[in-house]
Amino acid sequence: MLSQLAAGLLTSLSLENFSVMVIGTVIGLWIGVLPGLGATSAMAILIPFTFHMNPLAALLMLASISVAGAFGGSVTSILMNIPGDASAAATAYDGYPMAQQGRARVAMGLSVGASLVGGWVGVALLIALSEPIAQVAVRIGPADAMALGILGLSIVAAASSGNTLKALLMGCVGLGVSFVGQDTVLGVTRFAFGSVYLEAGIDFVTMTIGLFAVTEIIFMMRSGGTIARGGELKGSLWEGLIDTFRYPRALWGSISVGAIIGVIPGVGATAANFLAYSIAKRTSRNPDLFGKGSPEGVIAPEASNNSCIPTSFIPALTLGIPGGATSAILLVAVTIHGLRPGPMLFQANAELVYGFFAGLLVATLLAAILCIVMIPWFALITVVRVELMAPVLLVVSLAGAYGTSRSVTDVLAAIGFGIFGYVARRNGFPLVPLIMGLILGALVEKSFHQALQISGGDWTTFLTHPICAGILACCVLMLVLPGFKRRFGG
Amino acid sequence: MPAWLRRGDALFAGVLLLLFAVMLGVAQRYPRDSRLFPAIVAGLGVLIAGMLLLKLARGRVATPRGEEEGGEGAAPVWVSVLAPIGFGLVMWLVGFWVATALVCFLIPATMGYRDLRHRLALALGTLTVLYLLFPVALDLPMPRGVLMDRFFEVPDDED
Repeated sequence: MLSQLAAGLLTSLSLENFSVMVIGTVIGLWIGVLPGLGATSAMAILIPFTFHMNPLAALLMLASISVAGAFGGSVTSILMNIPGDASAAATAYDGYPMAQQGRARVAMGLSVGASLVGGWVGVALLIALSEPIAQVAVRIGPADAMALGILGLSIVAAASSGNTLKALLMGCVGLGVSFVGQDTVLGVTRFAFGSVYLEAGIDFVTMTIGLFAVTEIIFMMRSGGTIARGGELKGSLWEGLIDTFRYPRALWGSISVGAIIGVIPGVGATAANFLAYSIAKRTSRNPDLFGKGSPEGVIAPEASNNSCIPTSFIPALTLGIPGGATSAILLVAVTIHGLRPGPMLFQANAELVYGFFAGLLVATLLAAILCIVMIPWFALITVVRVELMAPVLLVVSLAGAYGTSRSVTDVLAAIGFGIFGYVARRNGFPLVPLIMGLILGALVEKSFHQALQISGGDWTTFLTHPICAGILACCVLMLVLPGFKRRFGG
Repeated sequence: MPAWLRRGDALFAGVLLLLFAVMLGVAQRYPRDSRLFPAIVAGLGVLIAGMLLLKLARGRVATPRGEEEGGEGAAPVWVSVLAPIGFGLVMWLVGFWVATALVCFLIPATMGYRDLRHRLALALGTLTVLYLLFPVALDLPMPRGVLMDRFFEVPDDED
């Protein structure tokens, strides 16, 4: 395997392959920074350009966009509390408070360090464990997938300490919004009330831009001044990079979470991001610092996010089942180039597969280097006056909402969600469970019906499947235990 | 009216309770398999909103900690909320570019930033960068607005 990997590395470093990786990394980083236009949009826009490339160059370009997009998504999360991508949303919990304290460069250093290590370990796992992990992943049945979706929601609700009921309520709102449009079971149009726009369902990107970008811009305008409260920057990027390794529990724990979640089809980097954050908070020696600028709160989501991306390619390449949106696009590219995903891919196209694996390692390093070069410039945005920054951010965010489907209605919907988000946040209702509900809604409902169909309508199937029952028990414990502790434990 | 009912979070929870009740009612129109999951979620929503209101009535929910508002250069609440709405409406009527220019020029002024030259530079700079980004680099033409489309004929590519 090592000799194949070395040969793959040489292939990936050929002039053509390396050039497309550099281009992909620049595009991914650039688009990842724009709210709403994440790596998935960039890959979708650029996939026609890859048709004329050799298969490896095409895959490397798309993979570089995906990797760099994950790096870029965290930039605006940290600097402006506006995630470039939903999978960078949890990074804002502690990254933004650090930016407010003038420590944006340190937070970005932590993000780059954790992303680099997470990305590399993810690729190493992809190389070593592709086939065995894929065999375990196929054993996860519909009931277990439903339970995993509920686990994602429960974790986010439980992480909203003191606001569990409000968070659960917002999770239900998110699930409710996911029902708008055609259902996944019979194809019946639901909750559209005769509107053509609603029949197509609420677009996830539109809602993310509304709830995160527009809401944050309204709050920014209400607070005035600069994002860095003191109007100056403290600490350096290198301090952040070194600090990454001072929290091994958060780093390695989160990488493991991301790698495992990546393998499970449909769950994706966003769930991994929140799950890792929540686990890091629960296992930290300083849980009280979370939400106030804890370095662990930046390391955990970034490490998991970036280890999730490579492992999401495992089911895509070995079974033809995409682990998430980015791996689905990669799968399209694989098929277009006449390759057939599956175990035979590793034997029939070993040079391509190992070239791709080695290229991913290079792409991760490239994205980190580019980030390091650009961070000092990015960080300056936190000392720009809000009066000048808010209108520009508003325009860019809403242009992103328009760009996803070229519909003005999407822009108006994003504004509506933004105002809803402002009212909700002002009254202590967290927004993240809402987004999680929307993301996981289709997966949970589809798996719920599939499980019932397989069991012949027997509801006890959710309690008799050991994995499902175990996960559901965890959910209940997670939600109920803190309340019991408060009431009886003092 | 009891004091707890005047709290913003109680009102918000009440509105959500109503929404979930409506959702529960509307779900009954759909076939069994299509309504089952929405009905479960709506039922849960009603239950949770009810529990939250009960806790609020008993005074067991802490008052939401307000985020920092009203510092130097802060916009009044009406400006903050109306700015995105205004942008959306102007964009719908006269297009993205006019809306962008207006927002970049007017929002800083409503927040107390009076320097005319800086505001003009901001508007022109933003327009230039966005033009290079969207129509040129990403090949994404931005909306012209319903009025512009009505008064200025768009040349048809097929002719």
